[in-house]
Amino acid sequence: MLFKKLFRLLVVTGAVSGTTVAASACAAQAASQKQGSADAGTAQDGGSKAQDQGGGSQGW
Amino acid sequence: MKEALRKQVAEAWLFREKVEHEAAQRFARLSRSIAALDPDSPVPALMARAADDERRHAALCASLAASCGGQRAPPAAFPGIAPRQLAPREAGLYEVVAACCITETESVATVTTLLAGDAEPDVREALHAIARDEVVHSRMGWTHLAREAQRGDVSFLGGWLPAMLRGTITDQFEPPSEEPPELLRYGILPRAKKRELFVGTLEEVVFPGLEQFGIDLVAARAWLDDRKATANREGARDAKLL
Repeated sequence: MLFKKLFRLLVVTGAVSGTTVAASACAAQAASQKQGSADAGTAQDGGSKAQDQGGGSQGW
Repeated sequence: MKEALRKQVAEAWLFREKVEHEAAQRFARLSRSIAALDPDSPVPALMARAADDERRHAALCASLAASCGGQRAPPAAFPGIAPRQLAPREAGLYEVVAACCITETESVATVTTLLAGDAEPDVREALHAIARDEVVHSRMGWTHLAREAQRGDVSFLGGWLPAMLRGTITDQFEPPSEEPPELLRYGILPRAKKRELFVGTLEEVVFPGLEQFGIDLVAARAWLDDRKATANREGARDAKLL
């Protein structure tokens, strides 16, 4: 029961929020005929110091 | 409180303080990198707030540890966890999935379970404050994954899941140690319960969530089955020795 609730509370709600916002952003972008810039790829610190094999994030 | 129990409780909360500091640094860094990669996303603002939340959580954990005599160490600098060979966009997604979709989701399950028990008032108060924020921290991972999946293929994550999971676990699969029953009142789950919760959250929340986005779970499931089988074998061997 806990897991079903968590799936809805976290996964479904989070994912719906992502797709809804993404869809509205796309619509707004199309309407204003702006050029997309989502592929900037300028982040310098997204894991550059990590080990080759990758790691994980410890929690509680 | 007995000395051994006091020490165990202090160590557990000091460890939590450390992981909260690590999360604060990670969210602050990811907030900047995701803003550059996905300027329309709501996630960077959520992550900036999450970094503040985690600093507040670290203070709560430190305070509970101090009440049991725990001596806090100054926060260290934590490096990123994504494999070096990934491009910035993929590296950011790797880290968000590891930190939010897996770890924060597991944390919500842990804190919820602890709150259902009979915790000491100061522990309960801290757990309540933390629980509200952890829900948002988990969701922002699923939000980011949904946005990235809408933009392109995220199936590369499947092969990396065992590395993320290996880096996530602490003592969940180790044989049970001597655990006083009072631990639960101080916000610490018995190891067997911790494992059950970790596995259940993976199998029933995290894995189905990832699968929705076309991420293959063969490697992750094989890793989990192997850990469970090893832990069961070691548990049976220890039982024979007793």
